[in-house]
Formats: sequence, C-alpha cells, structure tokens
Amino acid sequence: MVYQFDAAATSGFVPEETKHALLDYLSHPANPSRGSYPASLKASRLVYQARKTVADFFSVPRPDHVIFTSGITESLNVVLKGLVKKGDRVVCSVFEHNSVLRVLHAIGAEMVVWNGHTDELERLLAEDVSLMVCSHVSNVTGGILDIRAAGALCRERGILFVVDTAQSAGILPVSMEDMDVLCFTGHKGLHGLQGIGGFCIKDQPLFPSPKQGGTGTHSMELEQPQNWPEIYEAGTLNVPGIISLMTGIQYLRSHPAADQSTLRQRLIDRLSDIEGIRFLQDPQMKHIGIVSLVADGVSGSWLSDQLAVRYGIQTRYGAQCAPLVHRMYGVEASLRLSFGHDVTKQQVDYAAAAIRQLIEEKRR
Amino acid sequence: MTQTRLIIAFDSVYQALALEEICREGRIIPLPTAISAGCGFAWATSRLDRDYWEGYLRENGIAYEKMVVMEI
Repeated sequence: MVYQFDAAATSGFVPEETKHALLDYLSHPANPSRGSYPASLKASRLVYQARKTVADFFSVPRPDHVIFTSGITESLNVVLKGLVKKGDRVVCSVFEHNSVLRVLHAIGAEMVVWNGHTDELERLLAEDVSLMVCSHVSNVTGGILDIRAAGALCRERGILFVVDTAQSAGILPVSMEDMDVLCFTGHKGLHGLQGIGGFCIKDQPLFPSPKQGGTGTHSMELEQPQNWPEIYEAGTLNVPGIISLMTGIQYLRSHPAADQSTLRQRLIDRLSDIEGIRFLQDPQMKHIGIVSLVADGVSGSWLSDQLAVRYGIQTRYGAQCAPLVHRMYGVEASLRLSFGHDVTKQQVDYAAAAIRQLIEEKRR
Repeated sequence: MTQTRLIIAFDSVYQALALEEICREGRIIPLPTAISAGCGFAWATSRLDRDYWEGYLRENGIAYEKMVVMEI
C-alpha cells in the first residue's frame, strides 16, 4: 500500500476517464491544425474543446486566450521574460517558487518581497512597481494568499498582476477576473499528465511572440502569426497532455476537491505535542492540505526516507524549490506532507503515528 | 467534377473549429492556395450567399480572413 502525501509535487492520480480518452487518442494519433483528414481533425477538435474547458474553468473570457505550454515553469518563463526588463521593480511574495525567483533573477529585476499579508501590500505596490507576480498558494506552507485583494489593488494602481496557480488550480476557485495573466500546470490539482500547462491572458497580447515556428497557418510568411493562440504557440502541441488536462478538469466538475484544511489541522494536532517539532505556517493565513515541519535533532532526510521505506508514505524533504520562505522560518529544508485528493482521516492518523514513532525511535 | 463553393478562410485554426462546432452547412477543407498562400483550414459550403455568412459569422463572434466563391 502506498500513501500519497506528495501531491504538491504531482497529483499521483489519473482519472479512469483520462486513461480511456488517452487510449482512444493513442490508437490513432495525429497532428492537430495540420491536416483536414479525420484523425487530424479529431485531434484539432480535442485541442479546441480543451481550450474551451480550461477557459470555462478559469472564467477566461476567450478560449483562444488559453495558451498551452510544457508546464507552469515554461509559462512563468515566457510571461515574465515577456513583461519584465532588467532593473524593473517587481513585487513577489516570500512564498515564490524558483520558477518565479530564478526567472526574475536571470532578468535582473529588482524584487520587492511581500510577506503575504494583504495590509502590507498597499505600501509595497508603489508607483515605480511595474508588475506583481505571486503564488496563489505556498507549496511549502499551504498558506493561501488573498489574490482577489492583491488583484484589486494592482488594478487600481495600473500594475499588471500575474498569478502562479500551481498549487491552487483544481483545489481552490481560481478566476481570471482577479488577474491579468493566469499561469497553470496540468499535473497537480487538475490531475493531468506531466508536461502540460499553460497561461491565460485576459485581454490584448501583452508581449511579443516568445517563440517562432510552425502553426499550420500562413506558412509562406516569415513573421509569426499574430492571431490567438498562434501568437504564443509554435510547433506540435502536446495532444496527450492536453487531452488529460481536459478530462482532468471534467473529472473535477463531478468530483470537486474536498476542503482539506480540517485534515491538515488533524495532522498538526496529532503531532504538536512532540517536543521540538515546528510547523512552517503563518497563523494569520488559511491553508490547503500541505504541512511542512522540522523536528529538532531528527534529520528530515532520514524521516522522509523511513516514511517511504517502512510505511509506504510518500513525502518530500528539502527546500521544495522555495528558498525565501525557508529562510523566513530560519531553516534550509523541511519535511513536507501534501495531501492526495482522496486522503482520509485514517491515512492522516497513520502518517501522524508513523512520524511520531520515527522521531521517538531516533531520540531513544 | 468541379463544384461551386463559397470558401471562408481564417487567420486561425481556432476560428475554423469554432465555426464547425456550431454549423452543419459545410465542412473544413485544406485552405486552397488560390485564396491564400501557405496552409491552414478553410470552410467550404454550398450555400453561396455571402451576406448570409457575413451576418452568421458576425453574430457568432467568428473572425474570418477572406470569403470567395470558387470552383473546387
């Protein structure tokens, strides 16, 4: 038996509907937007329907403003490199993943770091800020940032607002209304395959085409077509990934994600009396089903390994690619438990008991 | 055997698929070079009334590039 407590890394679950849809497609794969024979048209229609499904899910006004990429890291690279120049002042949160931090660093942007408290944001969003980018949910603490309030402030001040929904899409409601650019990944809360993601732009194109290549249209012209979605897409699309994204979202329509905050608290309650245990969390925030912890004198590396080897519990130990939040809590790494979509009370209790046993064993 | 068809060309494949989703009067074909160089999709229909199609596309928010009646 394997217990999924690493869903923040990848869902670990593929709906049966997705498997059937993929088998059907893979029995006769074809390149979409290239030929008008039945298999190619079928692939084109699948991609078209997937754009509509994503647009409907995130309330994007136009489905052709849904752009597919290889994942949210590519999305954030494309969007931030398109919008931010060297020396620009950019507000980001302390919870950012390296998919934001390393991109801003590479650009040479000046980062203004927000602690995630909305009352602090008003002061940070000064006139000279060109853009704000933030995670909706921390991949370390599970803390939920108030992107609605942040979006309203950005709008009021004419600052572009980009949101990283890696940990929230499929878990919490996400609406394009609150932001200018929405970046998403398929393989976490949306239960799609790895290698598919995208970004959505609310209005007009905000930056030039980041890549050039075949689109199946205007092929005799050397300029990249400036129509949606070709302005931001080139080359053969990841059709299996796109299908999985669509069927994953359809699955969520009939099986919406459960509120895991109670289970999260249950895990913390069952561990909090252990001497020297500390949870990386902000008491002022609400959280999704992610718990990161450190225990004095017990290696998190050993804990994570033993949980997997002896108890079948999949966790992650490390900095989770989020250095700023770890520094804020004065640690370089933590043991993270991020709940699978179908986690139960019994599984949470099992994980808590296993962690307690291992810590006690190590300290004996 | 040639047939007279009204051909609608689009800037984006997305627009051709949007028309196909709502309309049964015609079908997608490869874009004839006589209309536009390169490649892509076009809509071919035996309903030759240009005014009808202009209104229909406008009403449904579908952008098109060209509309030509031709023998195919």
